[in-house]
Amino acid sequence: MKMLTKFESKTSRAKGVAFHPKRPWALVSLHSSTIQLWDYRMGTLIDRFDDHTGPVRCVDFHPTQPLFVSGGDDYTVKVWSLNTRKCIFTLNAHLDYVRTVFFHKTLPWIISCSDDLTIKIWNWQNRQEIACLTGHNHYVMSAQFHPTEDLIVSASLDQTVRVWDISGLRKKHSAPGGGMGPGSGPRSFEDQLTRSQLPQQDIFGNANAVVKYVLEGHDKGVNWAAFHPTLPLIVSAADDRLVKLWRMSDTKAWEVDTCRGHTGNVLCSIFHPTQDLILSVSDDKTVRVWDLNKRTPIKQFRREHDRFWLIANHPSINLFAACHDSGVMIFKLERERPAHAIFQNKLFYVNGEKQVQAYDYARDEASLPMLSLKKIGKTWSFMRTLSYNQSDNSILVTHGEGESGQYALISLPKNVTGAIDPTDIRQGEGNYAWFISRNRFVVYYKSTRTLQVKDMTNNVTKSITLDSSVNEVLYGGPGRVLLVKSNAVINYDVQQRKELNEVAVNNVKYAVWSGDGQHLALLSKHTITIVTSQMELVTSLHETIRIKSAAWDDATGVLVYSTLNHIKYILLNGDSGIIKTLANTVYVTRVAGTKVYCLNRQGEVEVQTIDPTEYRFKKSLVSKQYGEVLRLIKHSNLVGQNIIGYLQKKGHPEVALQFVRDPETRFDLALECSNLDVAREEAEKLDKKTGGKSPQVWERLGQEALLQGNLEVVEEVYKKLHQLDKLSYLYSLRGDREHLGLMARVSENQGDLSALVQNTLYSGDIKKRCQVYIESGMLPLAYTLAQSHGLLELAQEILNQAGVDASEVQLPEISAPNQLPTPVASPVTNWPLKQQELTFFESALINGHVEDAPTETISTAKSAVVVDEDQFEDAEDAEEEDGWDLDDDLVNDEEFLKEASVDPAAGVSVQGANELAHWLRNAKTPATYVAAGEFEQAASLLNKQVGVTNFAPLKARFLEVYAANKLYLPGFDDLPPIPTFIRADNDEDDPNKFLPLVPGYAQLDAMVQQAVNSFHPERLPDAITKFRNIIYTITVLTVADEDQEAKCKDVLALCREYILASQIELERKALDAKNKPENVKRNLELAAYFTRTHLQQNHKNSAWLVAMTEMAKYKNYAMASYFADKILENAGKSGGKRVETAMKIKKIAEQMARDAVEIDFDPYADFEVCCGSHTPIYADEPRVHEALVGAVYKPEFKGEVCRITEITKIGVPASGLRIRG
Amino acid sequence: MDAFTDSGELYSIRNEFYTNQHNRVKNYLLDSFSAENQLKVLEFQIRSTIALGEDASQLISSGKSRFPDNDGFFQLLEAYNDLSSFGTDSSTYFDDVKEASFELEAVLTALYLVKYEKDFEQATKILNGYIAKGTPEFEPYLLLVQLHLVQIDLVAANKTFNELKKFNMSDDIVYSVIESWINALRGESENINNSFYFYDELLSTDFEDDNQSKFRILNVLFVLTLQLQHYPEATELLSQIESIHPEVTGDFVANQIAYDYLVNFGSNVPDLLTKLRQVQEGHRRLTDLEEKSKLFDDIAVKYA
Repeated sequence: MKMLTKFESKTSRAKGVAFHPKRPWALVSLHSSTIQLWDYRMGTLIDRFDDHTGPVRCVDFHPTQPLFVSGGDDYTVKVWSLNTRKCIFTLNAHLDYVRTVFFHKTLPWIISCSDDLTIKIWNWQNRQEIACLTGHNHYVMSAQFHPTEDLIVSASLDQTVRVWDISGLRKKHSAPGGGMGPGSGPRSFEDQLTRSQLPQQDIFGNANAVVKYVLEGHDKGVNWAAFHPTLPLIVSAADDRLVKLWRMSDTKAWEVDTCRGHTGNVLCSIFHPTQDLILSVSDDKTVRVWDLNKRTPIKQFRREHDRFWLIANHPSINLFAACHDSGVMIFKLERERPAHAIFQNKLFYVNGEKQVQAYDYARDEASLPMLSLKKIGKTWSFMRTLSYNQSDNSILVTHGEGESGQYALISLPKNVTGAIDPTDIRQGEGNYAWFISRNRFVVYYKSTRTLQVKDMTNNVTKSITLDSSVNEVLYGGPGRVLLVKSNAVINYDVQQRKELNEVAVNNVKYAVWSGDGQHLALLSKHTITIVTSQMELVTSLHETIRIKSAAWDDATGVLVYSTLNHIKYILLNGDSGIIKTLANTVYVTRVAGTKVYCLNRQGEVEVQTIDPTEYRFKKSLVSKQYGEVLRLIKHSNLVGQNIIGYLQKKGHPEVALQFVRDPETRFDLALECSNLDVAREEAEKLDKKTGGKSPQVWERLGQEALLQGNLEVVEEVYKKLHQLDKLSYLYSLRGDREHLGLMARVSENQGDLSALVQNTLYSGDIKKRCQVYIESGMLPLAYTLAQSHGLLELAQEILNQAGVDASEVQLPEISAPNQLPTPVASPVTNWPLKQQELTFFESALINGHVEDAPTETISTAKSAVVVDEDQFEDAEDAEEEDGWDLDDDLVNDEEFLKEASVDPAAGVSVQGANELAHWLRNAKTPATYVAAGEFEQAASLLNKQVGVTNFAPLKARFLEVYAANKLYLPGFDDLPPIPTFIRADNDEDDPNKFLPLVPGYAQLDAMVQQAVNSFHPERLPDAITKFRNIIYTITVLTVADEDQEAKCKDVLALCREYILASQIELERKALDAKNKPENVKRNLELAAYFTRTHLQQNHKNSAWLVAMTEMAKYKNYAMASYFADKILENAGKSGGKRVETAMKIKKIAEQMARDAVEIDFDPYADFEVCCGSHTPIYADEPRVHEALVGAVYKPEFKGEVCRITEITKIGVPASGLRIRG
Repeated sequence: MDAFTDSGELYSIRNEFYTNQHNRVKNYLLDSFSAENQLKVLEFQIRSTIALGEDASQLISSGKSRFPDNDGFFQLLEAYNDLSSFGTDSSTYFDDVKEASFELEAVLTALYLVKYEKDFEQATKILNGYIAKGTPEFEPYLLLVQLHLVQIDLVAANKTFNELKKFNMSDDIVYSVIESWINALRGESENINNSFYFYDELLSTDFEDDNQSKFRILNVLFVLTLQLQHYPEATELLSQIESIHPEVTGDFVANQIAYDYLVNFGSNVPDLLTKLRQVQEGHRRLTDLEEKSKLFDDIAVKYA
């Protein structure tokens, strides 16, 4: 049993607390006169109420109405409205502190008790006191109604508990038609008769409530008494430090037993609403839990500084609240997540009765309980985890917390006949236990930090001590576990004791593997993190509310998860949403189509029906399964802003268009996907709707149309908007004379002269313009215009009209008027657009052939590129196979046919039918052919890829690659051993990807290091051998990915440079220039070329040193100085002999800066060194290449065997080495 | 009660026999078994003696006098003993067997055919013939599966295994042994691990001074560890094997060669090959490598 704290408030002393029956709310009354309303799920203070003066001792929510009641030291009982958050009325009748107040479950009554020795019952509807119960002769500390019967139980400092019968009160107050709850109705004759026979008043005047029993037994004042929700039991708590249990029958009541243990006054005790438990709180700073049947203590929870005052339970949920000196804490006593495990189509789970049951997902049916776990662990221990082993039909459960954590391994019965007790229980200490293979399981015991591997007889076969930061151990797939630390999760191979990979995530609680084992969802309190099986982060998501469980919809690869009140989903790209709101928390176990199989907190399987369309739709869209998208569009009623927003966000407005009926949204979407037709249609609708008052719609349409060059629409828009000037300009641009004329007439009719002039400017209608000028009295302008355009008659007329003679007017010299260009043809129409390619959706929607729609016409630029890439890659592969990879004989191989004809029902899948055949079929690299024993094929490939002709040096490598992956499993004596094989990747289960292990890549670094180390003047031949070995290793190698491939290429280049350098240096030494003066020139040249090889920096320094000393030796001081500079440049701060010599030589060189021997070396020229002749090949000179390491040669070496590799031919056609498998 | 079941008295000896722990089989006292099981125990002991390369004729003759009505049975064992002691079958007993009439005859004839005649086909035929009788005797299945696996025919092996499953005897040692082989050959971590655990479990019994039996199991674990590419564990196993100084087998040396290539750049391979020639001339690894070596040389000449 564990106390799981859900909420804690930090305030002053809390005296009373109450749970809202439906919402996650709690009222807390404080000693400081305040009442607080908390949302305990979110941990926020919703409101506070300060009307009381002095401490508020008690509060209660009405079970159905938005009301609550409170009572305090100001002698008042107040009733409050939750809606207005105000006090509705106050009941003043008590003469001392009010200790408790409660609503009646069905009647409109409130019960209160007080230090004035009375208990009062009130009707909150008419705000009347309806009874005053007297009898206690000391403070009444608590009084409450029986949940179903007409009884009251009260506790008093007079050391008694009293049970009162209030059936008389009910009868009296259920007046006809009074609507006082159930049981009220027309008063019958019999009823009246009974009424008249009601008991007489007692001596205190109480007729309606009489004391039924007085329970005496406590030696000091009693603080609390409560009824059992269903049984005729009472529990009481008193200052004598005892909790007592009482039983009552119709006629009497008696003490049953006492729970001893508290070391201080017990302030309150209650029954657990569903389990046989008693909870009590005391000022000894503990909350204690007792077994109702045995009256023995089960557990106690202590707080160091806070005395407890009250405990209350939630009416329907497994939650308790306890008031203490510094606030209130809300907790539950046990986890409610039923332990479960899924195997194939079956769910194994522990039901509410602590029995193991199975649920068949395929048949939607639960089995009978098969095994009872009641005897596993302590009575109240909860099964935390369950793991199932199919091979011997057994389960592994864990229970208990911390150091008392235990696991048990139990076989399930073969035939299910009902819950039987387990027969063979193998158990031990442990907090987590999981099966990791057919006959092994792991147990992690946190207090000793040990992870043990055990066999089915519970014997330890391996024990590993883990780092103390490992908090939990979860199942990690076969042979593996997940080590959960507070800030990371590690994938751990138990067999190898090796941490495979790690991901940083905080406080993970549960791990959910996808069906294919490729993805893993890690759940912590508020975060879901999805990672791959290699622990690479895929996505993560934060929830403000607690995450409870998750399951993969394996059909779509979407994770469906539950929070306290929702079922939600998340896609691998991080898109998420709500599927369903839940009334009660459930734990999702499996998603199949529209069904979500959940376990509820009662340990039953609940099938929730969901609509997976939304996430399927999103998933299809994300993974570009457009056929599915279309099917969903056509066959579902997917609507809502959510989807439209999503589509827009993802760049599919044309799809969104299909969902929308609302013209405004349609108009927006149509513009977004440049669909003018739809936009225009919708614009018209909108226009109609607003009665032509939607200019902005037309404007936007006009802009889009203009962009597209759709002049018709533009014209229409200008007309609608009465933008006549723009319209005229448009006609003018189009060369539409007819319409221009029309426009002129329109402006004339409207008397808009300025527009008319504008139109005549467009149309070149001089006469008209003159007319306008004349009419508006601008005769000079009219005359000038007429005169300049040769309209002499008209000009004369104007003169006449003005009464001016021609001679009086002086016009400047004007050249001939410009002629307006004449339109070549009929008015320009719409700008021609390329026929818009229909998107996949559009075309499919038009022709209705979903299946036939060719997927490659997906028109979104991005996806088109992706598709192309794929095709390109495929094509490449195919080509290569056509070239030389595919061995036709192989396909007809007998083994292959044999495998194909195997009965699929034959139990074990026949993956390894013939390992070598698989390898051959999957072979892409020469190394794989070698491993499979097909040397011929491998040789042919090497010859074509890099021009290998001299195979002899490769023999050792061939035999190594062939032998390293073959083993002999000893079987029955006297028979030959069984050949078995080492695969490159043991986690691969697709036979079409089986490849042999080819050793080499892992050792590459070590080999290079060794070879580089042996690059020493005395050991050059050895270095050459070592570098060649590396080349041979890479030649026959298979690597996993691009990075490894790139690294191999780099190593090959490195080998080439070192071999070349070694060879140059060897040649130079052989010249023996010291004794043979004729060789001095060549000696110096080689020393210079040596510096041009690309060596690691330390070796480069050596090369410069050699060159410098040789140059100085033969008095080539200019050159020596050049190399001395190089040494000094790279020497850094470190001095040393080398630097000293360089300085010295530089000094000499300064005095005689010349070269005694002229050599063929220009330090500033760009050249490469021919690997054959060891002479420079300058940038513009012809050259030939070798294909394996990229060695460069002068053309005359073409066709010879490369001096570097000794296996490849120079300058032959080659396609390049392929080593990526 | 079936003597072979978990609680039967033959359970242990049978498990030990089929996991090649021959010294242990030999060390049982015949009289400690009930009368009806003694013949079977004797058979195991005689065969274990032969498997250890010792002469079993004394045991056979004592058996003849103890169980007088089993002439055919002892004749068979005698022939088999002679064969391994002298390398010849003076009675040409096995050449005459065309169809096995009882389990041991099928088993030993098949062993003879494979070991001395290299006639896999006939051996398979005899075993299949016996299996067809459908009696609940499992050893022929074991041999048959191994024969298929030796020829890298997992499909046929699987088929035989599935036939065996019909007897519903998954607790039987024969079943477990076959399963471990098939799992190892199928590959994939989980399968190999399962196989590994089976042998790992065998190792948990006390071997006292029987290092040879222990070696046999360590040798299998060595193979499986290599298959899993768990090299440090393989190295550990190797030193464990070396520490008990067993009489090494050809298979072990052959596997060491692969190990050396994977861990030591193959630097010890020439020495190991020499050792393999001494331990088992004609081991499959040797013939295989010679064949490939020749193939390579031919190719080298072709391109040169």
